[in-house]
Amino acid sequence: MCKLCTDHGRGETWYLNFENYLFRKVFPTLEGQEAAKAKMAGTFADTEWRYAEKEFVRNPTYLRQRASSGAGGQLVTMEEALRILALAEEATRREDSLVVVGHCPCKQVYRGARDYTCIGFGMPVTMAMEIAYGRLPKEGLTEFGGAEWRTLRHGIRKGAKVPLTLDEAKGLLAEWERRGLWHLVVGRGRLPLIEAICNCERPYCTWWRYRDALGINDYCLKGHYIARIVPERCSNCGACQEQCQWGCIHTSVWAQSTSIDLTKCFGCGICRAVCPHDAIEMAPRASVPTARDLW
Amino acid sequence: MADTDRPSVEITIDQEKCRFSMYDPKGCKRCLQVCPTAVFASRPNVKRDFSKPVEQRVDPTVWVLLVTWEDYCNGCGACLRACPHDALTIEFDGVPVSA
Repeated sequence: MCKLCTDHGRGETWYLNFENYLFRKVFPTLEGQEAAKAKMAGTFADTEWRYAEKEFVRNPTYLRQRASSGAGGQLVTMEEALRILALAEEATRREDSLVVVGHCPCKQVYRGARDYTCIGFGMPVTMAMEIAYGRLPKEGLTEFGGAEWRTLRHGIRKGAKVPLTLDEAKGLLAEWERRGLWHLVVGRGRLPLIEAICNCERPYCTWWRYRDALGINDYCLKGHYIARIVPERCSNCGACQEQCQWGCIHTSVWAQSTSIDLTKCFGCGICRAVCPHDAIEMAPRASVPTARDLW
Repeated sequence: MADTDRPSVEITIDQEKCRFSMYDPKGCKRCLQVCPTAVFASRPNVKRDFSKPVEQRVDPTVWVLLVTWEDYCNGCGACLRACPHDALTIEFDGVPVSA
């Protein structure tokens, strides 16, 4: 069990515990809800600021303090991401909130371009949109003065956050995985409340950067699964090695072998998605003795 | 980064020459786009003020360019080659990198 499961799972994997999707369960009192809502306006308003300014994004004290007060993230496989979205959808039905997709702030801050790969759900993102725009996507939400949205793709081009169905999510997640984006389930400061799935990559993912540059693992924990090659189907083509974001796949042309370093594997599943021979499987981290406690 | 053998790097943007713009097509953001290790970052120049009512809010369309992760610079020089205004200088332990 990883730290987030121990702290927030209450006996289950933390992102599979349905209570962690319910704003009113995590904040049962009205004061708690109002306080969370007030805090939300602030963090929503200046995400880009905090990702670009050294005093925040390179400040281990600030980041560790945020982590201990309820921020954290973990990589998940596509199957887990879909389970998360199913739980999120059920929560949105109960609480009259939304599952939306919008642009990834990390890629905007670090590359100056919009990639619409950020899936947010539940009361936090819904309330944040009410605070920010005064209205919700159903009524034609726009950002930066764009046009009314009609289809998912049209809306995304105009810069909206648009509601997302589970079927649409399945297609998007598969497409993203094939082009090397991992899925990171995150709590943005209100853990155990789970708020989003980031679909991002090196070097843009800010939360990966916290781990890589500052050694703060809480924001980007390795997943509960780990990739394993099925030798009978592997042709040593090297496609997995090309896309591995963590540098843990090694191939030898001479030895005709491809191997995954299980001590380094983060279990994102990108290698599996790009393998042309279906030669990679995701196994539970707990089943691999060396890796079971490597988070 | 933890690697202490690496030389210390200093990246400066000459603000007189730089014509950075996130949204203006006449402006440029090539260094931001071309850097393979995301050394540069950009943010709005003003914070969004959610205390104002929605009608009075102005979404920030002016963004500024910052050097945030200069220790991730590996001296590839892609930004130097990309900058049309010659506004960047990169030095590793005082030794300049040329485009």
